[in-house]
Amino acid sequence: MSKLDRELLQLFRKVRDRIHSNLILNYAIIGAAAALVCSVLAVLLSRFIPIYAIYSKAALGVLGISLIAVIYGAFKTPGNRQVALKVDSLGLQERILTAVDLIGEQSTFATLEKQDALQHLKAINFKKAMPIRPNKKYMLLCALLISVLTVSAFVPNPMAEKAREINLLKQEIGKQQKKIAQVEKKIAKNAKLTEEQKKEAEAKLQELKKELKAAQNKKDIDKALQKTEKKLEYLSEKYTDSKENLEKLINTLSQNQATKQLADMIKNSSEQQLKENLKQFAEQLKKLDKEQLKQISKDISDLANQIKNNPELKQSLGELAKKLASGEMGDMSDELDQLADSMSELMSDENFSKAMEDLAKQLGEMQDGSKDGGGQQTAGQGNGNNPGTGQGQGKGQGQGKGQGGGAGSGTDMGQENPTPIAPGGGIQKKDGSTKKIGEYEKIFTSKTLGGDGEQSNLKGQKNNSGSTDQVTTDKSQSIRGNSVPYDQVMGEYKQQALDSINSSDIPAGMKDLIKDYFSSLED
Amino acid sequence: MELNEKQIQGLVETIVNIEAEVGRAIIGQKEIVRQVLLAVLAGGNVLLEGVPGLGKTQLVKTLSKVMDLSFSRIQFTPDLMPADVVGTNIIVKGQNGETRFEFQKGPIFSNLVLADEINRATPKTQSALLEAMQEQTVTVGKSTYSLSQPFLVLATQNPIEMEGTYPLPEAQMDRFLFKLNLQFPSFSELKEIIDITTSNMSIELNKVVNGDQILEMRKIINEVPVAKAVQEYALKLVMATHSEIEGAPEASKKYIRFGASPRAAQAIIKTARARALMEGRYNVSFDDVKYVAYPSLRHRFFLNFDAVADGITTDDLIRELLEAVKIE
Repeated sequence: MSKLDRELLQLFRKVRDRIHSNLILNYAIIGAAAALVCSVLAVLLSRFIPIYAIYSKAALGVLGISLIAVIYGAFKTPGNRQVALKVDSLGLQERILTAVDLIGEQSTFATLEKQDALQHLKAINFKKAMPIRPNKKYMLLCALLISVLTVSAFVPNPMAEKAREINLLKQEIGKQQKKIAQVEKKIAKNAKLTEEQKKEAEAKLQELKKELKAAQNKKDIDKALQKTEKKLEYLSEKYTDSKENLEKLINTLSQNQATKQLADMIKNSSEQQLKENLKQFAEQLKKLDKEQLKQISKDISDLANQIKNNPELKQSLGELAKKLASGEMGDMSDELDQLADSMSELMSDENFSKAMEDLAKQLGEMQDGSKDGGGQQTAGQGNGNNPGTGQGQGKGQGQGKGQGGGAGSGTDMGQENPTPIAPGGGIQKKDGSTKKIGEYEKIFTSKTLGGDGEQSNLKGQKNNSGSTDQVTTDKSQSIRGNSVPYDQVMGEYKQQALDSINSSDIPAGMKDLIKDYFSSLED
Repeated sequence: MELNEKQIQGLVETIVNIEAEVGRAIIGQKEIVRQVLLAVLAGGNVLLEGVPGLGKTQLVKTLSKVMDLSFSRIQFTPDLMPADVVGTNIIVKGQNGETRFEFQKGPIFSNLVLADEINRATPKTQSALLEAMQEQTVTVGKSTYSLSQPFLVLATQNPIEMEGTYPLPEAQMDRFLFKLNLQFPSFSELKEIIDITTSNMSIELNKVVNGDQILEMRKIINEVPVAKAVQEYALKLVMATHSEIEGAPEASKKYIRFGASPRAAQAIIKTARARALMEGRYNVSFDDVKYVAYPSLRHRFFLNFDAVADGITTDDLIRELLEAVKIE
């Protein structure tokens, strides 16, 4: 490369760097302008659609896009041709463009051309001809858009509150989903569960995830959690019989000194260890005398008779009892294998039942947590009835536990009784959690109220001033009602209400209000 | 070709001197003079179109004087025969009394040939010029004769009085490097013309170059560097005249029947090089290309009926194409 070429390139690179810097600056300002335009549109949109923290998002967007534009500009180095064209646009008549093409050529024309180009290049004051500054039009646009955004920030947004609520809901869903993920991990790690059981539990949790995703409000989240909790409880209950059977077996074996060790083994060992332990048990049995064997045989036989819903276990215990009763303690491998299989199944079922119980519990906790976290007051409903007879308020509102004859209905600001069926009944309103069972909240439906019975009088002391009212109540026998999901009685109540409003002289607007109320309960 | 700086700079000076000298005799028409000069330096033929009396013949005569070139004028008429242009074999008697055929050169055997009102001759006679213009040779019978160099045909045609004329076929039009439209002079120019031509004042022209020097200049001009971007622009411009090509500008699709031939691209590049030197530059610019695009293209593509109906001229279309083709 000749000296002329080097000199030309050196100068050319300086110009290129200058153009590149200007390019980066302009990319940034164009990016910012584009982001500001989007922000203004988004702010406008946020007046009709709830968008949470729109100004923060807009600011972040502008910064982010400007940064991306700068990075893009930094990597987008202008090519030689682009630079040459830019410089030539200063009136150099493609001298630079041609000179760059001629780098390396030594012909007379090439040399003359390059000298000419260099001379013209040197004559240009680039600081003046190509100042590094952002495009004025875009700068003005940015300033205008920022002003619009600033002014708009002072105009109240009717959607702001709704946006905040939606954001809280989203956060809540996110939290719950994280917790579900943790629960899923626990299930996956639980070595006591079979693959099938894991899949069954995971399927329920997946359903929960989907429902959470589709949740529109806090109530939906609670409903989804309750629903899944119920499903898990159902799964747990499915295997409760197995658990009970296993407990019975352990209890029976614990009662006898000779079999107590086996009971402990079942309690503490895994399914895999069970067979080995049973073999040891068989060896111990061989050492017992006939009386002891007879007693054990009787106990096991009684236990077999008690078991009704597990024929395999019943049979295997029966076989074992027979063998022990006969006193022939030779080869017991068939009986023991059969028993081991039955017991192994019981243990597996018990594990699953326990795991599902735990999961349900965790979901219950999540539900409680969601309420605590949300800080929203929900009107919980409690239920219960009182089969007792006595004196008290038949119907009304009050504080404290409902006490009185009949199935009372009251509003209670007090503590909820954790048992589903509480003495006294009423719809309770409280902060915090309310134990709900099933997809729909259960409500109390009375069966018999106000039937035939003795009359009773309320006693009271009369003051000197004031009037005396005597209230006569039926001391009737109240039959305990049922707690059923409210959707089961909703139709009946709605129909009654509709019949009532049709027969009454009620304004049309009010009729709609009542209809809407019942429709909302059906959702 | 080995060149030195002095040669190149000498050439630039010579061009400027020629232009100045011709300008002394031709009042106004500065662009026409410049464009004819470009054609001479690029080695191409010129078709001059304009109403009578605008100084076409005067221009050719002046050029021949300034460049010290032989000049002949052929007035094309319907009865003009090819032999009248290229020459013919005639029977001559030798010194010993024997008779033999001898080729009698026609008027085409000159450096500068003015084919006046070329569209008045029959196509047969017009085609006699074809070989001369393109190959710079003339074939009579079995013999081919080279024309004296430099050779240049300057044809004229009248845009009015089309009756009894034979419009030049496309193939022949394409052989003209430039087509120049002569405009009526301005008032001041007309006054000057009248002052010179209606008095006893005569202008003595100086010879600035000769034929050999012109040939040398042509060689030097061919060395002028053209940047790739500039060359691409010229080629894209020619491509843009082809409405059938994908990506052709809308104007081209709408108004052009046939696009320009590759000779158009040759003409643009050659004459742009000459113009660069004429402007005192050692490189071709986009402006050079744009400048020569009009005379190079206006006779090389053909408008359709829509263009005629809309009153669109070839120059209007070239202007649109120059805007449509992007510099990149």
